[in-house]
Amino acid sequence: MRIITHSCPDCGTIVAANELESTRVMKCPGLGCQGVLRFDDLPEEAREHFLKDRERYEI
Amino acid sequence: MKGVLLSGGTGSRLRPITHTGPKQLVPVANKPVLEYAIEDLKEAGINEIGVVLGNKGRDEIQELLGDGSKYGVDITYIIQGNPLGLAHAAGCAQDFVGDDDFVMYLGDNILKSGVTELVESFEAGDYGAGIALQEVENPQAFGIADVDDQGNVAELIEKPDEPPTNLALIGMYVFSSEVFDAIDDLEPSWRGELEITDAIQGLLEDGHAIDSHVVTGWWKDTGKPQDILHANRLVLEDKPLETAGTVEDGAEVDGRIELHESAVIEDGAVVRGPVSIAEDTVIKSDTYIGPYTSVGANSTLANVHIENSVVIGDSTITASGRIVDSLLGRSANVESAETLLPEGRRLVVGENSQLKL
Repeated sequence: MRIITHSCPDCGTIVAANELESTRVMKCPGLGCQGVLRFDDLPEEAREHFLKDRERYEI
Repeated sequence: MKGVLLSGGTGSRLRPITHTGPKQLVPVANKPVLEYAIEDLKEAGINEIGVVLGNKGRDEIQELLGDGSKYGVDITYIIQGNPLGLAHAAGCAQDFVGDDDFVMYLGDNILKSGVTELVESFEAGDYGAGIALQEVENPQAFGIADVDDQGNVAELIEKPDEPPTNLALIGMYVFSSEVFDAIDDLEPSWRGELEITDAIQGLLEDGHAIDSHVVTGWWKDTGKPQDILHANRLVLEDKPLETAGTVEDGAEVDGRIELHESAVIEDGAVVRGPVSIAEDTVIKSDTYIGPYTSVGANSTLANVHIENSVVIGDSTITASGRIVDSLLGRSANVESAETLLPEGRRLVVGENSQLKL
């Protein structure tokens, strides 16, 4: 199963796509980081792959 | 070589202690379990560590570990979110790991012997992965490895009815970056998780050799309260303990005692080691602290007899009874009801608490 992640450009914290998709827009979970991460920051191909197989990224 | 330290999970078996924090921060001998893992990785020569966080305790773990500089390592945080399996956690670390090899260490585990020998054994050959094993008495209850005379893994079998060996996987692994291809090929298991044993099996089927290393010292998964007490015993048995604090005249102290420089054992108290007492804690007169007890910071103990127990910290314990085999969460207070009427115990007990009165 392909695992998609995104790195915060401000602090380098790596966030799994399932976490990004669950909130769509989120404050970076890196402590003290003010960065804002969006599901839309992922490449279009990665987003499409994730959404096509969304149920596999859930319990 | 990099390190990937898994620090997710709900800690449900450690409730109520984990209602207010992650299980990896529960102290053993007055040190959070997670710090033992960081030290083991550093001792194995690993200075770049990715800490994988779940949904619980993200801020607390980041507050403790920071950027890793206080441990002499560089930490990158990786947010896995939902617990989709160990292989998913490893896959989330792919951008961090790159083309390096990496140790994957379960952050709620403690090993007596660390991971240095596991890493050295892996690096001595051309392996797709290396796994840590330990002999167990009930192999039917574990994931078991079938290994040849050279220690190469032939097969992994989950809870076999007829185990070929008694060598159980203990949750410490070394991987080459080839594992990411194996993870890409995985499908979720019957329980909806990406299983790391399936990834290792995939490496085997792709022709990669899998190394094994049998751990001879103790290993402890600290997932349950009795495991914390047991780990506390094991660490206090082995750890060098320094008495830096104040032992007043008239206090009776035997055995090995770790006493922080700001802690005090007052006149009339009896402490028998091995025991660990953290900063700003006071052991007052008529108190007995027995072997295999750790008392966390900012606590006051008076009149009580306590042994084989862990007091996490910020506690006041002044009941005149005996407390044994107990785990007391932060800011838990146990005081005397002797002068109160009507007679009886007064309890404010949280969800999932366990009391034996």
